[in-house]
Amino acid sequence: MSKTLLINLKRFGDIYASAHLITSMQKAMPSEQFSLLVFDESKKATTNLKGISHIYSIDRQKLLRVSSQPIYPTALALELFKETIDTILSQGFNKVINYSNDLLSTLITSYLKDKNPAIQVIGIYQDKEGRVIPSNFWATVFNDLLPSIEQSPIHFNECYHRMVGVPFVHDEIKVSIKESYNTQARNYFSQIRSTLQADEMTVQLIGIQLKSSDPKKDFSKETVMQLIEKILDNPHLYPILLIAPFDNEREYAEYFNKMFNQSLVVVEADFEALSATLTHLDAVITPDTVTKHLANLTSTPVVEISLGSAPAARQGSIGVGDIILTPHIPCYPCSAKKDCRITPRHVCHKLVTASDIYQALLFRIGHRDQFEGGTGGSHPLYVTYNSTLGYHELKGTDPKTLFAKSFIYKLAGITSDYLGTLPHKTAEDERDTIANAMRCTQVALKEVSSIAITGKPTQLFAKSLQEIMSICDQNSATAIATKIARAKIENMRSQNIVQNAKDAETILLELRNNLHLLSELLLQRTVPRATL
Amino acid sequence: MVGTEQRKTPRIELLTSKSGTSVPRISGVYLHSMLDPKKEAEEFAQRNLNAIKESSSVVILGLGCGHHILETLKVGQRFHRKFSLTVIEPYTELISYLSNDLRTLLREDLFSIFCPANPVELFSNRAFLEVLLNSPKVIPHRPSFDLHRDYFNRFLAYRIPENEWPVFKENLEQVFNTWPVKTSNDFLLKAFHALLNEESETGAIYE
Repeated sequence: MSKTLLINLKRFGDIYASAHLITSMQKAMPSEQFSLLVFDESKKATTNLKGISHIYSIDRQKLLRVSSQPIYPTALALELFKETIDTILSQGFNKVINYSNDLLSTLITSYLKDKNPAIQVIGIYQDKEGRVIPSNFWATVFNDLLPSIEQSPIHFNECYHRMVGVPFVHDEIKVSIKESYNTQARNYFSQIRSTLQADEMTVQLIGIQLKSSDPKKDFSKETVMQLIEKILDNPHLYPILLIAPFDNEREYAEYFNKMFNQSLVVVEADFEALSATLTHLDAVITPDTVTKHLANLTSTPVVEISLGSAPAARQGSIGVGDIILTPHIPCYPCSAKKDCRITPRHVCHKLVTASDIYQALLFRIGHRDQFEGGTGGSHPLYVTYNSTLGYHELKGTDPKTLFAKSFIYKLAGITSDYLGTLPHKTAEDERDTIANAMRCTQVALKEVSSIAITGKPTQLFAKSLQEIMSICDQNSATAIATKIARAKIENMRSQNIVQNAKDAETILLELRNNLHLLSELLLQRTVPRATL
Repeated sequence: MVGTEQRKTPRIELLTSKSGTSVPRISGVYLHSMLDPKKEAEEFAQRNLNAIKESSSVVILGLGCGHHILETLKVGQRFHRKFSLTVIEPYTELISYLSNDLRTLLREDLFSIFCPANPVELFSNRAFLEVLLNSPKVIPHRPSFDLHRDYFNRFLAYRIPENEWPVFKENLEQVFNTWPVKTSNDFLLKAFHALLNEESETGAIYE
């Protein structure tokens, strides 16, 4: 039996998001055994993942405690860490998936691969020289492109599936739900429904997740208040406030309950109970990533409020028909690490209004035929499903992002003819960038040939290479080609200048070829100039 | 029982309390009540009930004849499915005065005794470090503690030499920044560095 280890050293939301890939792998490779490596603090999110044979964990808090308290010998934390990893090594995994792709997971993957070269790595690892070794083109996309493009053209979920090479599984409950919780939630909500139901009228229960793990992603108190009012005003709908079992969330829910004379229903749920709760709701409105992922895994309709640092196109809800409301503001998505620099601060929280959310909800649950977007400054994205490619699409994505996506597809050899066209002005800008990149590449190629012969670097080569690299910072499809080239150049390790020149030549030739492909694509995807 | 270095023990007198149980006397100090050591042990466990309730791991400073150990074990097992009890005692000889019940429990690993000569010996012992990792509550057995005040205070004040961590971290930093790696273990050292510096939070690594 083949054994696969998936390394995911991220938080709860990402642990749940991995259930899509795990389900797809289990379907595609039914005889394989799947294990997970997570941080101890994220372990509770693994309890309702399906079909995992073993959960390994790194107790980061303990290791940090040991390394910071002066009573422990310096080597103890390292020893404990090594024991954890060596236990994993001794299990004889055939495949390791570097899912979280952070520095720690990559170095652990590299250690496992170095110790046992027979291990097949999916994603990236580093060899002894420090070179980053991607398992395929999609591992490069995942490592070198997606993190550095603000409006990512590819969803993480799609990238994971393509990286592993398994088709996405649709419409399935992908987490296990405890029967006791399930019964409790079913009975409780049936009771609420029958109490509210009058004159044969069905009442739909709408979950509102009040808080997320990151305050940057939360919607404002006023928005929640107005949203509850709007839902209560609709006799066909009833709000269910969802909170996690923490005092601050209880207090927050209590605030709203007081405002509505203690008439609201508040459900306090841990992850396992939340999965059961979601399956019995008609829809959920959430700014929180864990709730969103769990709703996707339980096929619950979602209206996602996407504020803060998780870009919708990369990490948004993937339930077909779901709506993602993003603030129409240039700084979206913002950096998770930086403070808000906009005045007034966190204005994005006000741009997605209660009215927008309510209209989106009505559309999502089929009470409206149309929803063309927010009046208050929000931008809606609709999750659709593309049957030819097997993945989700976001209707409403800007043409530039779609163009970038079709370029990535072209590089991967995937034919896609549905990704729309580029407006003339944007196309012209892109054409100029391609021309500039092509010019620099030609100069660099000419110079590198002479370096390969003379063994002497030239200033012109350095300058043209620098210009190519500077394109990486631009928001253009050309930057995709130059970023791929940059990743390869950064991987060059030879001490020999002639060898380096030869390696650089190969990379530049590939870059030139990719720029040609991009030009071709641009010709196909440009809106013809209107003739007067 | 752990202890590598033999300590010089003064004469231990074994007396019998009014209730008929054994009470050791060392250098004139009675380690248990001469009236009813069992009752005293029950009071000991009651006095420390909160500590025992709060933590599934307890370290007791002083063994005596073990009356208080037996009671603490009983109470601890009532509150925790897995209760760990560790005793630190300078005099190895006291182990021979344990009751048969306690000897059985010791053999069954339901508690452990460490008799180190000094703190360095104790804090280099992996088994004891495993105990510490569970953040145990430390409870002094007052008569034993008073008898060995210096000994126990040295344990409580123990710190590794000040320059050890900076040197270790500096070496780790150097390995982290050095390519190519020499052995597989260097990957692990780099990973450990990333873990300590929480660089794993930063998302993708080679943007």
